[in-house]
Amino acid sequence: MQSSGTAKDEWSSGLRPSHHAPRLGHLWIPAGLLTLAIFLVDILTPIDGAVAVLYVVVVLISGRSGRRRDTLIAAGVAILLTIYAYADTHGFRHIGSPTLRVFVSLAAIAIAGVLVLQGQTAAGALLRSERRYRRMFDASRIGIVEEDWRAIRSAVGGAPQDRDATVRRLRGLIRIVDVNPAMLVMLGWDTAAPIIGTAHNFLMVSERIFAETLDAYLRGDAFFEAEAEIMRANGNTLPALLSITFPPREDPDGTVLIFVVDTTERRQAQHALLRAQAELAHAARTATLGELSASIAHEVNQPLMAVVTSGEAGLRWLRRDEPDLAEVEQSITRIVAEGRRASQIVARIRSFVKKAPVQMELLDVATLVEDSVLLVESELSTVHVVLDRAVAPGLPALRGDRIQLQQILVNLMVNASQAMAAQSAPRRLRIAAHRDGEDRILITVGDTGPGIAPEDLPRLFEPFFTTRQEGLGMGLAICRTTAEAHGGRLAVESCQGEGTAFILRLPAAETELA
Amino acid sequence: MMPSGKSGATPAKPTPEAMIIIVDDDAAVRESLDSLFRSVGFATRLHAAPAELLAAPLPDLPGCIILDVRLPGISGLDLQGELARSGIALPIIFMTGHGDIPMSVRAMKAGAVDFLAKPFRDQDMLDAASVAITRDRQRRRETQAVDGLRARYETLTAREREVMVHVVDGLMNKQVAGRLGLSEITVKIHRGNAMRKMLARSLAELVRQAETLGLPRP
Repeated sequence: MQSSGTAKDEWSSGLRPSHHAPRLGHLWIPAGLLTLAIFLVDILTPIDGAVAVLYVVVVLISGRSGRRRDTLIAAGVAILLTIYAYADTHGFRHIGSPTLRVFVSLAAIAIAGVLVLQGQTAAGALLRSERRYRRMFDASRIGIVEEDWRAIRSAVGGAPQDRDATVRRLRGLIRIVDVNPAMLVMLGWDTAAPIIGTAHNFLMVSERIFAETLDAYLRGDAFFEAEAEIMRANGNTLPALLSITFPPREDPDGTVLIFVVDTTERRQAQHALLRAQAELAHAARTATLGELSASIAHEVNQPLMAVVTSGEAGLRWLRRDEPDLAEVEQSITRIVAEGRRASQIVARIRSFVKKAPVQMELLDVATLVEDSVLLVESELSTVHVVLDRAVAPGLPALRGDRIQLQQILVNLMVNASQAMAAQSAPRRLRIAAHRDGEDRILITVGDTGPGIAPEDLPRLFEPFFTTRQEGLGMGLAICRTTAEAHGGRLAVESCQGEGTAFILRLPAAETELA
Repeated sequence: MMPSGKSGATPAKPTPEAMIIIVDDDAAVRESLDSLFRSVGFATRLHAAPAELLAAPLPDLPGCIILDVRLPGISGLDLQGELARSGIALPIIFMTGHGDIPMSVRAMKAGAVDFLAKPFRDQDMLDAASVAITRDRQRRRETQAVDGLRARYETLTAREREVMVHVVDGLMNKQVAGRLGLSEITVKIHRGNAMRKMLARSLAELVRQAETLGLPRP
């Protein structure tokens, strides 16, 4: 029959054969034999009854093929055979009880046909829908786990005594229903068989995340999202983003779907981005030090000169006719102290330009401000900027990278001093730190410079935006990125003719400095 | 004025011959220079800031100022100008951490004795200081000479000055008498008094003195 041919085409087009579509060959033989038997009985035997009603069985059998055409053919053949048998046996002239019987038979066949067709339509839609979702499940690159949480809902009740124990117990009640291929690949399992039906809740490596998910489920939330490490078959972990959807409360089907996205690549990209930012920040620091090189040379030279001159003076005291040992001692003491000072200056500068990985640590705000000031103090003094420091006492600690935060402050202070370089008006720079609400620290760097043109303000933090001829325009962009990487903000307020203030807001660390 | 630092460090010199004024914002630099100069017998005075130097009275001694080019509040070069304007003529030796040529040229043109890059050899600094002190001593002597002359000139009466002006202009006694409406004998007496008071041994010397004093022509 032509139907079997189309079926073959359909299968070869890529869809997997499914148990919902039985092979037609198996049906046509019994259906054909049954039709023949009914027809022969109807036409050859003198039974007084609606034998043709039995064609209903043939129509029902045809319905099992799942194809409308088969049902239509079966019903059509049945109706034709019934009418032929009636005409052959009774003729059309006489109207009587056989006529009534034949109408009953025809009606039954027709009704059966309509019902079968309706059923087929519904089943077909269901089948298509099922296939579609199956395809999503199987072909998706997102890992999907289907779990049965019904046992949890019935197990929760009353006030739990020990939360941890409860969470562990409830976790054991979960049953994995299905796992899609993408998920298996992600987990490194060859087959889902070993985990289906178990409580092997491999997704929640940490109890904490499971507990949070459980809370969301019991609250009646529709979904819950979390970033978690999931355990692979080989014991390694994998960073993943979990999106967990819960069935509505009134849904008796307790299936929970967990969508899992492997975030390894994203995390690698984030790391690469952080590395690139660090490189850029390092380049900017080096450039800043380049701008400060004259003051740095001076700063290093001062102790060196003191060392050399003290040594020479000491020798002269020693070579006198009557050596003055007290003076010699003073000279040597100064040599030692100044030698140390020189090495500290060098260490401070070295640490500022060192290419070190980002290191988040607890930082004291006053020390941070002080260290930054030390790097620019000499420069400020050269360009005759008067520095005013106001760090409120008892500030909470910050959590951050010391060098990167120093870089922000150094950059802002150097910018401010450059902004004031051309003016004869007093050059004042004020660096202040105080608390902003309960959990934030505010550090402001303000100058008495000419201010920033209003049209420049919106672009101030854009990369490569600069108002200076020799500027690269990366400084403020890096400062803002760094502030944001520390969970903070960098803003600017400027009043033309009065000055500019940069405001750095940073979250206070939760733990106080030890 | 007593030298700063340990007074016992400069033995056998109750009144120092010269005073070195050191201006640097860095205490260690100041102290090491102080020690160096005292070790060879100079008196020193230390200042951390230019303002201190300008505020303190200057010693009546030959000396020099040792100045860092880069100072808080004002640059060493600007301070040099400031000192010149306030009539402080002490020679200046500049020190710098990063001596660039234009800066040293500017300093030398403005009358600096030397321009030393830190760290320098002690002998270079001491040599520069002795050059500066010699120069200052010379200048002081010249100033003192002019000062003496001026003091002597102050003792002349108005008439004697009048006569002196005309005489050094080359007029004869008679001509002077005619101009001033005096008798020739009176002019002679005034002229004699002026030359005596000015300690001028000849008319030529009186003329030189008038030039030194910058007396106006009649």
